[in-house]
Amino acid sequence: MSDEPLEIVIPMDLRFKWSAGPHLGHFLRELREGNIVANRCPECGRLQLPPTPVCGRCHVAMGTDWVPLSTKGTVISYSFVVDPMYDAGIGDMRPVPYTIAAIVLDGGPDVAFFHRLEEKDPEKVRVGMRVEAVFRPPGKRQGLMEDIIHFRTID
Amino acid sequence: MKKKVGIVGVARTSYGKRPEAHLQDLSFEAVQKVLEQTGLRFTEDGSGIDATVSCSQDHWDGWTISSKNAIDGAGGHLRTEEKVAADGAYALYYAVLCILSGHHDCILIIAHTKESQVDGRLIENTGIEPMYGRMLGLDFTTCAALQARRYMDERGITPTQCARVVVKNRKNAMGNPAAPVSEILTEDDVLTAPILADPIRVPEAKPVADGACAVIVATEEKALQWTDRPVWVKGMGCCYDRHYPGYRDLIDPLALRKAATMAYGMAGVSDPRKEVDLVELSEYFAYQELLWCEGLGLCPEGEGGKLVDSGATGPGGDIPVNPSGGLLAGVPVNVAGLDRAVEAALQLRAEAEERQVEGARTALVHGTGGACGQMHCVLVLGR
Amino acid sequence: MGDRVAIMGVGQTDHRYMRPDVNHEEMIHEAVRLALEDAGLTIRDIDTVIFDNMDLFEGHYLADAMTVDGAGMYLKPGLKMNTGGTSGGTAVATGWQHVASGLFETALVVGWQKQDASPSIGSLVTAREPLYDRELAAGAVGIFATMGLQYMQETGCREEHAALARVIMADNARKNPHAHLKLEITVEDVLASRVLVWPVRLLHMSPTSCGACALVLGSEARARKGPKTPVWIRDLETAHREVSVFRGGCVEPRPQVSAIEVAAGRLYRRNGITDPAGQIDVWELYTPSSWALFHWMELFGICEKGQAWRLVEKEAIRLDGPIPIEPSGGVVSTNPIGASGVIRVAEAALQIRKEAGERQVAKDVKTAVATAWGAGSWIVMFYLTREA
Repeated sequence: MSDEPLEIVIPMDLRFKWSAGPHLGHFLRELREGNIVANRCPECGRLQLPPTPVCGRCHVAMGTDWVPLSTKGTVISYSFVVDPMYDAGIGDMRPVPYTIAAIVLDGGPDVAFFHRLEEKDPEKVRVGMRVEAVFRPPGKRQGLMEDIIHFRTID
Repeated sequence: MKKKVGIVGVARTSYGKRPEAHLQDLSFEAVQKVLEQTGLRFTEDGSGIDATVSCSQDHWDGWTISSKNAIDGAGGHLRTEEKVAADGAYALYYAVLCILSGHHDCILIIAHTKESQVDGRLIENTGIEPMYGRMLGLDFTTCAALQARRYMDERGITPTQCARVVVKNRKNAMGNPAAPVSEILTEDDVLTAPILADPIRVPEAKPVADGACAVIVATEEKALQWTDRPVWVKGMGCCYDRHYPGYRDLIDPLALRKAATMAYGMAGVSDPRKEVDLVELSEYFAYQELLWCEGLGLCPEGEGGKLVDSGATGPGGDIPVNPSGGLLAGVPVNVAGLDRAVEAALQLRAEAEERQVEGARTALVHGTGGACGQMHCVLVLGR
Repeated sequence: MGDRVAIMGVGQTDHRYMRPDVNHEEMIHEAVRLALEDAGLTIRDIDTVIFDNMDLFEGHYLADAMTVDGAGMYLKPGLKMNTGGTSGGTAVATGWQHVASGLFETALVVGWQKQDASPSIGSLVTAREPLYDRELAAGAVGIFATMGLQYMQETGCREEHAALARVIMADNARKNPHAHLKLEITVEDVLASRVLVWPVRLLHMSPTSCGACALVLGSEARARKGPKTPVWIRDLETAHREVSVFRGGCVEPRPQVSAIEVAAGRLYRRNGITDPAGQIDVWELYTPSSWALFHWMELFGICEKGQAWRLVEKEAIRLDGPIPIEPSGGVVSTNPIGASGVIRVAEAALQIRKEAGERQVAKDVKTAVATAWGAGSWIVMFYLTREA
């Protein structure tokens, strides 16, 4: 009998049903309507994206001071993802390449929103470029970040 | 203990299913309540809370670094926060050590779990060693069933005695505003209820619960300054047994006996049945209340059944066990042991309302983790 | 302050990419046995055991309970900590609290990770908010890319300097028998390695390692009786940072407040450290990417803002330099996550004991700082001394 080391593969499939809570929930319901909103800390006035129940810095409860942001914004950082990355939702690699960007939405200067860009040509993406959210059609949205397909270039 | 450590505030959310609440909402709700109750704030000059101990599990949260769901709400920004990944009783145990060491003067402890977001039996299946037991489909419920069967067979514990624990704790739970169970059951109801894992029936298992609880502990000096009803941690202990239930004599809660011995030694308790006024213990299943009573030395070995028959553990008995309704009333896992301390503190502060044990001066707090009670933590609290 | 606490013994496995020859319990046991031998003790002398790892990486709920025999926890008190990348640091802090409390004479601290069990980056993705950015998450590389970009923009630092820092750490790692990556690399090799997220290249990032590290901590009375020079954990500090920053949310007003600066400031104040570079003889920082090193050096006050790359350029951080950093080769050479924070303390202790072998720094080491870093912004740090 050989004494080769045995390595045994056991897949783990754990299904979680996440509650969004009142703050992230409000954000996702707005997203379903095609809107992007952030909440504002009543003390320091910072916008929170994703919306949170509490400001970590001031330790005060967030109220209902919702600030609508434009669905247009400016890219402040981006990356072409070429190294395959796991999709935690399915436990498998997601297809590459794709472009991920940090976008400052008009009306929300102190927060960056993260999403994918439609543009996959490295020559055509730059910091400072203007982009706009492309939503799935009404009726196809579920209150998920995936309700935005990607951001398209507008200049 | 060489120095006294006092509990100065306790608070919790309600423990029903909370589909409207994000994990962050649960922990923040409990923190807000305890801050409001004590008037304490996060400070650096010694005038308030100077560190946080959180308690949660990455598996239950489905979240690597589950403390992220507590840190902002628990004042973690630019401050000390450390997460205990064990039952909530251990979080209290650790916080007390951090005060005894002199490193901190006042600590906020926050435990949270949202059981309803996942099938807990799948989580507990991953709590079994992967090659040997996990693939058999063992989880903490099936292991408990094996322990229950052995306990009944060896000690003559009857289904009726287990049912009596359910009936008692359900009735007690009616006086506990945090408890989600709302139905009183008769022995017959329990004995004819659907089987979960033979011989355990559905109402004999802890119901699914969501929520968070928070406790603030401080040095003797500060506790006396901040509350006129401090509750003191007089002794504490914890202990691990081996992992495979097959290695353990399942009717001998050895780790519990060791943890209790350590806690009693520190607190100067020699006869717990006489010296303790009430017990809040962690019975994930009804039979465990009987077995844990034996392990805590509240009755002779093998006589847990007789103890519940005698009525001693019921309201008005000489050693009320789980006057809150215990875990069978519905308390989230991980939160469980810390919630026992919350209940014990409320009793010792004479604030337990309908479930108050008259004249309570000393209380036992118990938390456990792992299959068939592999690890236990015991604390003695006093007025 | 509580009772004095000393490191009596250290033990670590040889860290590797894969350990198919052992299960996690056996791997942990290797480190525990070595630490006990080093301390001249047996498991019967240990009063309590503190355990840490990051749970979802191996997929074991209550891994401590699963590992009682190998970790030596049977019928002992103990508990498990998990604070992410800082877990190992938190476990050492927890062990310190146990001994300093006066209730325990000895504590065994065990940190480990077995990253061959699952795709770690998949587990790391679950550190993100599932309903917000988990879908978009891309591991930890982006954090270091941002650091690198920002640093190059604000100072004269170029890619070559980060590459040199990486080469110095590799040179140290080759002298450390336990290190995972013992690369023979040049600055050119680093600059030729694949870009992950520019300016972070493959060779700038820490590997995924399997390994365990254990420490025996003891009270003063016990430590003085041990066979080895006691190394005193004189002080420690932990600081977090609000979670939303890691979520990629806020564009911070400048100057940014760093948890590292806050933690270091508190610890230095308490211990009369006014000139960190002069008063601390060796540094074991938790540097997951060579691009983080410059920031760490400046935030820990080793040099002025914007000057760290110059110290690297002068190779001042080498073993024989005036400010030796990462003599072990650092996290960028070896990263069994839950063990990494414990390894930093263990390596710093070996330096103070002058038992670091080929990686012993040239200076007479009387003081050291060891740290653990995690979750994008959290820090645990220790101040170790030879004098009690």
